[in-house]
Amino acid sequence: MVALVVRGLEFAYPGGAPVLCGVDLDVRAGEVVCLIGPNGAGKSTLLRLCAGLIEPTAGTVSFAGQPLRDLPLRARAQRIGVVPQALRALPAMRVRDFIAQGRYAHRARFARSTPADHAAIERALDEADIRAFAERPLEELSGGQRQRALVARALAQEPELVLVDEPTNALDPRHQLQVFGLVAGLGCRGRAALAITHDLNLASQFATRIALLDAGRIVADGSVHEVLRADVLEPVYRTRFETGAAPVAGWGEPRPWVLPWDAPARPDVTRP
Amino acid sequence: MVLPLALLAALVALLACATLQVGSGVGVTLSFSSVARGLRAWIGAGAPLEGALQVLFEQRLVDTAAAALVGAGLALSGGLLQGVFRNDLASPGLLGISSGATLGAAAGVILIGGGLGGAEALGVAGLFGPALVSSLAFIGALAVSGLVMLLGTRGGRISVPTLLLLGVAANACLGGVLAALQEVLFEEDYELSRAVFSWTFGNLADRTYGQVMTLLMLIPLAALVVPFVGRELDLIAGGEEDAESLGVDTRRMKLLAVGGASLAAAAAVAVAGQIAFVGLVVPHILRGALGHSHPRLLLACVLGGAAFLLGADLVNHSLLGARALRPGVMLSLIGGPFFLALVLRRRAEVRTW
Repeated sequence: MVALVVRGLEFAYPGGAPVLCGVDLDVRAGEVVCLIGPNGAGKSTLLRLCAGLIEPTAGTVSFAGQPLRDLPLRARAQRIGVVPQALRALPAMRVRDFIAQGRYAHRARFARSTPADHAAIERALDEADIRAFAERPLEELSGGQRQRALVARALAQEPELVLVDEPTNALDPRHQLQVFGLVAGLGCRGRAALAITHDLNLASQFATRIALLDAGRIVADGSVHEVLRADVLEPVYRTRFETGAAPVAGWGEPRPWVLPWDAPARPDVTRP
Repeated sequence: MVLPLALLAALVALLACATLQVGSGVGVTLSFSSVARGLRAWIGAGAPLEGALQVLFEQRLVDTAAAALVGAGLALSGGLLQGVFRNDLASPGLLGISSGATLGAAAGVILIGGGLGGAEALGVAGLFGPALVSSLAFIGALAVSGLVMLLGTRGGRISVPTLLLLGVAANACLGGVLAALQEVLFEEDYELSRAVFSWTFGNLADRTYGQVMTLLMLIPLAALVVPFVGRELDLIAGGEEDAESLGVDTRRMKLLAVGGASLAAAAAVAVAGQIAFVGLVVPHILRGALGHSHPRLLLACVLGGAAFLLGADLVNHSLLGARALRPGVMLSLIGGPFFLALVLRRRAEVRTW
């Protein structure tokens, strides 16, 4: 029951330095894998490769036992959803129409939308808590509301695997938890999620596994307890971390928390 | 979706009828019943109008149909290009379609003029002359836009900024060639020079049945891409990669959309010469009225373009009579300020995520 298998993945932009050098990664059904790592480590590139949006220089990505490149675009979009960090431009449409875009791959060219399409859209509106502005144009939404609309669109897509690039960027704490809960909820329902995040504590709360990417290599891949440790994180992020354990209500064992805590170069206020 | 399209269709019918009545504004004004009788006679269901009137009417019919189809083709082309480039400032002139067609037409004019003995041949060659000029214009348009597309594509991906720049470059090159040609012709053969000039600013009068038939085949053919790219154009609003992750085959979509746009514009320019502004403004106006949904917008462009060009030509002839401007000139005169206003308004609304 392995959903996504990445083997020996390498990628370099034409004429550029390698971005990924031999990445191995599995995301199984029911898992929520958080991909963490410093800026420029290659996280987004890895995510785009997993979505089949760019071709690797070497190595393979396969999904449900099939190489990704053998899956037709439409079939791929029925099974793998992507939540990008942001869109290139703001589509001029209502939130509901935007979310309905997630149904494109499920509809035959000349078919009308089915009750299943409507149900998926309504469910996504509720789950992402954006029903209140479903009829408003996207441009009237705040950054955080747009972020939730993006997640909702992927939910309406009903994919087996959802690939998420920093879903909680512009969100307040309540919606951070809510959106991450949505992504994680997919994992619980026999689906799978691979989510990039810089928020290590959110990762701690929701991930079933964490992969740490540094300069194009996976340097740690394991449970939250194995990866969210000062001795693992400090050499990669090159900052100090305070760590501890916090109980999460209803989760049984406590989860690690981490606090980046370095003695900063203190501004000299005595000098004029 | 049906009501706005029906209204637009009614507007086209109304303007077409008015154009049939007024014609080029200098000749006879036909009554509505004369138009109806002329139409009946034309389809073989009644007696023809008196004397030369039936001939006059049938030429008007051809010209009106040509104007409607040319407007439809240009607006459809503009709508497709604006969608695929995600930019409301795109238009058929952009890919070098117009200048390619003009150069092809100029080649045709010179070929006939040189080979068949002077400018006389242009008119007298009858069916053959316009057909050859139009064919060469069509080939020129497709050759240039094809070349621009080929150069702007890398690894199967059309790069939008590159394509825009290539279009500008192609227009500059072809414009230079055309100007040089005009300069030589002006010295050598004034009549030929005039004939080429006429192509540069469009001409909607004295079109032929053959040209209308060509448009009747090619414009619907180009419009056939609409059901295959309409929804897809809505989906690339957030970027091509995003659309691909939703299941859109963006390569195929771009090929179909740009191909359809080239075909429609090439056919239009091959028949009527360069008529700027229709392809730019009609999709823009309709987007304001009907929203951004492409399946509807593109169909509305076909009708709206026909109405727009018929209306503009009608106003031109009614107001200016014998001094009516060439359609390309008139539309450029309105188009310049309109484009300026468009750019100034757009400055305020930059749509970023």
